[in-house]
Amino acid sequence: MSGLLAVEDLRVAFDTPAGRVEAVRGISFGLGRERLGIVGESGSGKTMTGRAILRLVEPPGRVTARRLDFDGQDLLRLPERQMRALRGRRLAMVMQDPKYSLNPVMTVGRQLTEGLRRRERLSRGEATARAVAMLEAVQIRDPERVLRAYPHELSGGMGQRVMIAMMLIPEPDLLIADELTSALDVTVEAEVLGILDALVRERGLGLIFISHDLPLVARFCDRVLVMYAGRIVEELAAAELGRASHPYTRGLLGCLPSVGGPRRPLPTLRRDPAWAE
Amino acid sequence: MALIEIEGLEVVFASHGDRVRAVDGIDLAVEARESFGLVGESGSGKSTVLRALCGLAPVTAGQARIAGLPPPRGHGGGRARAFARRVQMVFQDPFGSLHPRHSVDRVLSEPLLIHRLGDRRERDRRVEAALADVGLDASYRFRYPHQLSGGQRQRVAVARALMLEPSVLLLDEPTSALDASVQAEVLNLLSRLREERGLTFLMVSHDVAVIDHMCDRLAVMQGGRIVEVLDRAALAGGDLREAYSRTLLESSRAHAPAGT
Repeated sequence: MSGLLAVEDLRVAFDTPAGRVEAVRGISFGLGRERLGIVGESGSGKTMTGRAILRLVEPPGRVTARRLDFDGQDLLRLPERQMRALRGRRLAMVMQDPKYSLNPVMTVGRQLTEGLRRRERLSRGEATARAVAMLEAVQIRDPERVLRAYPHELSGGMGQRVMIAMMLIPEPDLLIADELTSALDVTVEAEVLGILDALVRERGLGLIFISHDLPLVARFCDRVLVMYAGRIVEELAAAELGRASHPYTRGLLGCLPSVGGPRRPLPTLRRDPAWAE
Repeated sequence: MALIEIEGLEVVFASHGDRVRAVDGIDLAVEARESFGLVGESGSGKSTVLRALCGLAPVTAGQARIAGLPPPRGHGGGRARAFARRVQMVFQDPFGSLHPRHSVDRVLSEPLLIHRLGDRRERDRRVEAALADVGLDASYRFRYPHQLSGGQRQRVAVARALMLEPSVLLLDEPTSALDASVQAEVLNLLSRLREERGLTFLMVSHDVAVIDHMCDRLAVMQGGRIVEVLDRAALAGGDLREAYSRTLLESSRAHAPAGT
């Protein structure tokens, strides 16, 4: 499926004193109005792929691609001003760690309403009402208190939900969610996924769901790309993940504990150098 | 007498006139050499229980004792040192819990220096043994945290916690920041160390499958209270009294890999 985003031969390289390091090594995929999972371990290039699409790779990192189109626009050639206008409105990325993504010296309320008041010129009352509605949508039970709070006064899971609310307020077309629910417990996770799912189905959001949690991706996404050492080693329908054929994917699945499982040590992954080739 | 005893524990945080009742009156007893799990959603108070036990969160009412010792206040003093010899904590975030400018050697030697244990040669020996124990070879000794992967950092955090040979480890989401492959290695490491040293674990996780793999019994927490205490058999048999526990278990089942 394609339409919203087309990626061909995307590479992200870093020139370091120790030589050239390629974090992403020539990957191609398309994205439509769907839920695309990208799985793999830390260091496999998942996050770098997301950052490259949003042009958030900082020097000395260099992004090249034969093609990187979002809704007909060539992202590699777009002037930075237009790129900034796309980011945050039509393209958004929610990062892993709320501790580093929220402003520690600004109340949650101000962070949530700032964009609305500036971009959409809403009054303080209207912006607050939208923020409260979005906090309720991500299942925060006492939104008024959370609006008054500073980020350090929230638990990790609450901070994560605040970030999700912040990204969803401008109603983007493409959302890159990087380990979005990893810090959340299963019940809240289900609620957050429900919100994303509704956005994909009802508003046609294109979602790139980056995660190291394979079973979660299998349940939630439509398609999955499995990344290892900067390459896509396997691509399959999410529901087929349990029948993955690549030994890397199989190995990752085998490491997980399960309720009622045996007490013996968990299997660990034996890496084959050939996977990286 | 249980090794970890919690009676009527309450933890209330106050800020800007808002009072947050993070732990709202819980009772819990963990026996020596038991491995006990706390599960629940974020904000349920599970991590706060661990923090209250070791003096990192205020005990507003009730009692929390480990081996008869109340939570220490401050870092100095004989009581805090006696507590540290018995009880250590491993945190979720191996990036935040290691000092970025201290080498692995310094991280591991510091507890021995503070507690005036051994001479230089003895400290060297213990640092090397501790590294070997967590599966890191001697070449890691003079590295800094930014030179280590997440899994290696968490191994160092476990090694640090074990330097004073405590009998109790408080484990706060020790593997939730790690990849599945690395999680398996760290869980295997913790199980082996518990067996070899007869440790008592009190472990917090949002992942029911991880708690089931590691613990003999577990408590389900919600809104600062314990809603249910279960053993492994009840969990595996789905023999749960509370609707909330069932929700947690069902969502973890949905997480289980297909085809197993």
